[in-house]
Amino acid sequence: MNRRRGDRRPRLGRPVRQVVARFAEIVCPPEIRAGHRTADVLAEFELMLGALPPATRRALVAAFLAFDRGARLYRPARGQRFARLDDQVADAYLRALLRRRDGLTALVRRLRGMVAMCYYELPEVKEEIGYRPGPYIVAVSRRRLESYGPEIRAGEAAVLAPDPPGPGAPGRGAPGRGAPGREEGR
Amino acid sequence: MTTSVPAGLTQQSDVTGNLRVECAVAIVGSGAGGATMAAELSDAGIDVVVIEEGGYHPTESFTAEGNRALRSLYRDGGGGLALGRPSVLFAEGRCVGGSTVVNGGMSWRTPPQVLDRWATEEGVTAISEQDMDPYFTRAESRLSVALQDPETVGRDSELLKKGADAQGWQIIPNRRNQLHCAGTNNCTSGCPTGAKRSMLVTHVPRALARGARLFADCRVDRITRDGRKITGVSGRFVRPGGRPGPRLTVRSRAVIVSGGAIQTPALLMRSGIRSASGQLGRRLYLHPNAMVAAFFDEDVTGWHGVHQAFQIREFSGDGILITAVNLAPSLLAAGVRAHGRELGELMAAYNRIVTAGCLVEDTGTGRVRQVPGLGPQAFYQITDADAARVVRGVRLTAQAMFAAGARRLLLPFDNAPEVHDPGELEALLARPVPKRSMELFTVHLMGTARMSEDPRRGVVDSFGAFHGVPGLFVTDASLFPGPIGINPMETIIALALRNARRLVEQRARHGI
Repeated sequence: MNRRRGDRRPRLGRPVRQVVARFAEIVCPPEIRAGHRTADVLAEFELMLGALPPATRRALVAAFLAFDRGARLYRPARGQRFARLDDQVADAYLRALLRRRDGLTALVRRLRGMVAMCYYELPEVKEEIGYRPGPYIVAVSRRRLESYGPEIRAGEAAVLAPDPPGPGAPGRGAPGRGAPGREEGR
Repeated sequence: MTTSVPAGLTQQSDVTGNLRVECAVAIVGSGAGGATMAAELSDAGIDVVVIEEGGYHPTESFTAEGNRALRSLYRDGGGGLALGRPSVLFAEGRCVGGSTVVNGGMSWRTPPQVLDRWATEEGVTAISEQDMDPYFTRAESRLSVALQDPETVGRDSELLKKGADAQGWQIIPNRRNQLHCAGTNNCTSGCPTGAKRSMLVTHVPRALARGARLFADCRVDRITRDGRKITGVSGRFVRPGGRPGPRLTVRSRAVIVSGGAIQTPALLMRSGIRSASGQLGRRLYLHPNAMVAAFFDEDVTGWHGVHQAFQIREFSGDGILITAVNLAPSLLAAGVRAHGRELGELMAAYNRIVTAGCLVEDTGTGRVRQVPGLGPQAFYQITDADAARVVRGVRLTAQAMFAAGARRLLLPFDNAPEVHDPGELEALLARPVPKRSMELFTVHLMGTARMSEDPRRGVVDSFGAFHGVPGLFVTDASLFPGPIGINPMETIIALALRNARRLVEQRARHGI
């Protein structure tokens, strides 16, 4: 899990965890179950919740619970909560809410987006879709230093250097790397 | 990871009890406005204290883990929402260096016609293109503003250019604040090489080297006053997880608020400071953005190469800019209207997707209010005219993508089907697109403490001095009397350089 100092992971209560886990199984691709990733998605979700203000956090938790209980009003659910629906009915319930074109739709879309975001942050999922930025960043960073090392060091040192007199005096920007920042021609 | 902490920087972990400090000028916020003011005033020998709500995250700590960056570098995990129909998602930086740490690094001067409008309509003085030129020049020099080195331009940007060229549209290379950018495409999670010349690696260290003190992880609650006289600020350090820590009390003879267009008016309001203009917190502009996901047959690998190498400027006269911006998988997945197996199939094509978007110069406005129990809340309702601009921007973006060879597109409208050719696009957009169906977002928040020489029209004067409150200044994008139609960072920095110069010239008057 991608944690760092200062990250706080508020633990959701068991009922909400159950709803979010079930929601993740419907929202995320089937590999979430095949790869036993539900717990990791939940942990990532809890980390994201920790970054939100308390009022937003409470509202999201309440929204998940309302989403879960609201399934009872959905006829094909036959009075059951979302967390207890089979995949087909659970998916149909979610789609029905997303089709409503009202404030509820925006809320459900946001919940869906948050959970999908957590799934695609898992390292193994990024690997599966071919997103491997780490080695790429290392390679281009090395290329940068090899190609422009002296200019980079001079530019970094210039940060602390005194300014030439006058507000508009020519400064220490890398010469010849482009004219002033106005619109340029075709 | 062990990294050295610059002298003059105090983090919450360094503080065990309440602190009281004195200085000449207290600056709230360390982004483009605050850090620039701090560097300039420190250069002039003025005793400066900067208070930043976010943490200190050095270049060495930046990785491609997008969610981790959202949690540590952004306010509220990047999930701000300006409420309306539709609501507009927005992101603000909250870290030492502010939004400059997480922006795309586009560095453009304020268009001359915008400066003219501010001068003629608001009576803002010393704001002509000629007046501002020295400050833009200095900002560009300090931040190494330049065109990209060609080897860093990625395939997604090349395809945008191919599409624009095929349409015969004007497309220009972006000018960015970068020192030989490596093209890591990690701008929005913090530049891992330091090539992006954010405030974190420029004006913050410059200010600290000249004796400024910076308190990170500290949220300013109030600006303090004695009658009309400004006496400083007070706040609290924020412990991990948002727990309140010790208090910080800063006594100063002047206060500069640089918290951005949402937090600046919020701090002023909760400090009981009123503007006779009635404009504090009003006239929020936010350049609504909408994004198109275009699928190509070829491997694009949009995360190879610089973030936004080009801008289509053909329609800038109509208030529309178009660019290609690669999104990390997590952000793309959060935005597409799909789930389950369908989401998996879409994302399996991640390396063949170009995400391109339009930015719209808005004519409508929103506002910021203090909501009890919630804190600052933005409200924004897109106007019919601006919604029509969004639809036009999406149409043009989609046309560019088809012209570049895209096979299918996802549009940012609820329940819109995939479109597979320009004919389908036109047929779909021939029908009205309801505003509430639009998926809008922004990272450009402006207005809310607007400049005007007339205290009945503006919150602050031409140089950011709060009308009627001596010793109180604002320097960030909240100064803007209107939207500028392009990326705002260079405008904020140039205005800060200009306003700092004025403050230094008048230092005796302010007792600093």
